[in-house]
Amino acid sequence: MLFKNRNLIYLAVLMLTAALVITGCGNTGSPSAASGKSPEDGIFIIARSTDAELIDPGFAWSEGDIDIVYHVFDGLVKFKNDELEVEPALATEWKVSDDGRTWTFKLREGVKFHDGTDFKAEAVVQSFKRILDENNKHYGVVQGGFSYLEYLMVDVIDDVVATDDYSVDFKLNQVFAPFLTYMGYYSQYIISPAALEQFGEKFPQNPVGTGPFVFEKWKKGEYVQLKTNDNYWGEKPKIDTLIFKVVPESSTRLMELQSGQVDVIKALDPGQLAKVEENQNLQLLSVPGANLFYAAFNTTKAPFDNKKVRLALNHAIDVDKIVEVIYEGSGTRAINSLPPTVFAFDETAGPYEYNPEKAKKLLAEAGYPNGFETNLQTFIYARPYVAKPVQVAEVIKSNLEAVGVKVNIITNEWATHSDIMDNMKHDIGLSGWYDIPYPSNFLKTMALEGANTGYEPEELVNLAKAAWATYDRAEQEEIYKEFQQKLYKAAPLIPIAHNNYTAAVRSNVKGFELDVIGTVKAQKAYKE
Amino acid sequence: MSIWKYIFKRLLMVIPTLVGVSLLVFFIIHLIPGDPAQVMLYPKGTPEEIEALRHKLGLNKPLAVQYMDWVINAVHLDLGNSVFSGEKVVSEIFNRFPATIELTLGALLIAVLVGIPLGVIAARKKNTFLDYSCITFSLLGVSIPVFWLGLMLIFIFSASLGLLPVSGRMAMGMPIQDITGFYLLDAILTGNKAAFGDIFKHLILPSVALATVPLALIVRITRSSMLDVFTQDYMRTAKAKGLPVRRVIYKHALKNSLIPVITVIGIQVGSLLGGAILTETVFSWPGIGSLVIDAIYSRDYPVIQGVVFIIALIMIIVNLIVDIIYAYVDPRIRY
Repeated sequence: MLFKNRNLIYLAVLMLTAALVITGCGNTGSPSAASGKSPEDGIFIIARSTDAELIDPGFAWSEGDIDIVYHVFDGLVKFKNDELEVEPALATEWKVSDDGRTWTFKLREGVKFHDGTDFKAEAVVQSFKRILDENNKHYGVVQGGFSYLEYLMVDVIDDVVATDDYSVDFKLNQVFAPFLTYMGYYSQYIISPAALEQFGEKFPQNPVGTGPFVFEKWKKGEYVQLKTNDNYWGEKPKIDTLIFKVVPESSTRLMELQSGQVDVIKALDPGQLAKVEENQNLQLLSVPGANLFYAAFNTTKAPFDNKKVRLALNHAIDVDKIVEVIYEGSGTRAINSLPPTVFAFDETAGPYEYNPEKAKKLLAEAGYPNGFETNLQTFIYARPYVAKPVQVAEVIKSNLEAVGVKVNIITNEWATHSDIMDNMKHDIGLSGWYDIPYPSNFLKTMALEGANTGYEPEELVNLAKAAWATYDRAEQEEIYKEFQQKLYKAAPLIPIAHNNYTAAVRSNVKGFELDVIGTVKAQKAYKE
Repeated sequence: MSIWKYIFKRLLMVIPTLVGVSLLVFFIIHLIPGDPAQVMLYPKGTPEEIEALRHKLGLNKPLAVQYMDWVINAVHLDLGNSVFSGEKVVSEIFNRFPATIELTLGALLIAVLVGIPLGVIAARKKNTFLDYSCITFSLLGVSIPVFWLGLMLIFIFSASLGLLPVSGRMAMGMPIQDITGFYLLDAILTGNKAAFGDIFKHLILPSVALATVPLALIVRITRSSMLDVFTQDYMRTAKAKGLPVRRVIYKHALKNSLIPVITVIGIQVGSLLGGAILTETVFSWPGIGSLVIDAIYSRDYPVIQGVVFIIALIMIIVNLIVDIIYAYVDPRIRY
């Protein structure tokens, strides 16, 4: 009997221990963490799915980097609104020469970098030349791989010259319409040459700019911590500390926000939108994103080299249904390749109505009365322009099979998918694009060159060139509208949707911004 | 053979094993389609731009040359640089490893401290309600998806009851001096009580979630091993000579049934280190699992190779330690 009781006691002790462990009793700690409040009110926490890789405007390329670059660095100009009109930042005024090939910027005086050095024309020169000029002593110091600045303008900028301490000339080899707009984009932001000298290849881990926040600490995979720049030349932030926390799992992110342990979460699942809207403590931010999700035909091979087949498939797919059911309202149906928020958008250049009968007729005319069999490449996991790419593929498959086209869905992870698309191994491939909302980025760089359709006629190439060669907006608009009409008629791709960028904030958060590019801005944020 | 000779021999075996592992990993990751240049540039880059980036990253050299470069560097303890962050792989790994080890130890501690007693109870109370409860409990442990369990734990203990933090290693903005990277240890070293409590709380839920599978295995193995030992002659002798039952169970039976349990624990250490990916994802735990999963998706070859290499090394060492412990637990085992 005695032993029996003893065992029961052991069991009881054991259970108690387990219970203690699970409920976290015996803690010695601060009450703050568990009670769901940030330790201090001056701390502002943004939870995102990824960490930064390179906090350096010259080499940042992922969303994880770009968010932070916007807070630590400044450009010569900055975007005033979602139409990307620019206003002064590190430059106070600018002008372009009569031949359109020299841009002169007058710089703001009295601005200091976070390391205490003065911001002068030489910093602008170094920030550009370390990326664009192979003979610059800082060229290639940072092992960055891909530079967006180089990608955008290496073929355009001939030279950057400091004419005195506070003026800089950019010499271009052509008239380049997007130039001033691009100067407001993160990759053209200005870094401290002294810090680059000091940290060398470690600069992206020790970023120094002139921005409203100063880089303080980075625990890889965990968080990036910034503090307010007390000497900021512009409007000083109201918060003291800004933290970008890495929370990979979206359900966890939402629970972090619900329990008040973070102030903002980025990138919600479509299924979470309703939950946020129902919750009085939370507020949903949603902006039409400058992105496009589309299905690309491989026009270099049969049957997609036949325009009638491409038209037929455009008619066969119920795009509205996809946007309604899969995007769950958090997106807009794409009319053509250009997001409707961008200037020069032509609403008459698309879309093809959903009409299976017409699709069948077109297929018959094209010589495929009984349809054909084809592969549809898609990818797992969300991208900025689509949350559920596999489900989209399934809808497309059922739509196409209704008109007699047999579809095999092939689902890849992203790197494999990029390999297939890059090497034109697809028949139809789902893909997407997000960029600065400037027409050429969606019409020339994407639809013509980057969409993996193989459709790049001389006529459109020339139109794109002509649009770049004028600073006159009206003239550009006319050209881009003609471009959109021609692209629409040739139908090398099926535009599907522009995904909304989303974030959710605690209701007491004010002044927090989410923009069309999908970056978050906490310069003006504060908590009530 | 003395134990030292045995250890030396086993350590020598490390070399061919590591060469084999690195060779296998290297060629497998290069066989799967997609490379870092494509991941970075798709869909924006033209074929020429992608080729230029490949050249810059050294990806267009023949595979054998790339492998030899890697081996030569690895011998000098240089595992290369991450393609994406440009940071040294060695420092990326050592930045992340303390988090994983802290979590693994937490989980292992729970699994052992709860698992072995439960196994003993189940064996003693064979075919009773208690036994069935333990079996069911451990069956649940292996069958519940960790991902789901983790989310449920957060939902109940953090989001609903507000007892514990949702995720991460500590409250953001908590001032703590980073000395070893093991936050609990750092808090002790700096005498920071508030930080210690906070870090401890952050460790609880992920440890419990991660502990379920090894705990279940330990319960089952302990139980069956104990039952096996119960039928041995020396058990009957021990009971016959009138030793207290408690002594018989814990001194004679448990010690003799520990060998398979230790084996399981040893294997679990390895799989916990490499297999905590899901737990780390759910709990935003910045460990090696999240590092390697990102690296695989982005084809960051040097990081993948580096992590697998280090995990293989740790597996080998843990196995060796397990073998040495055998000799202490069972004096009949001699090397």
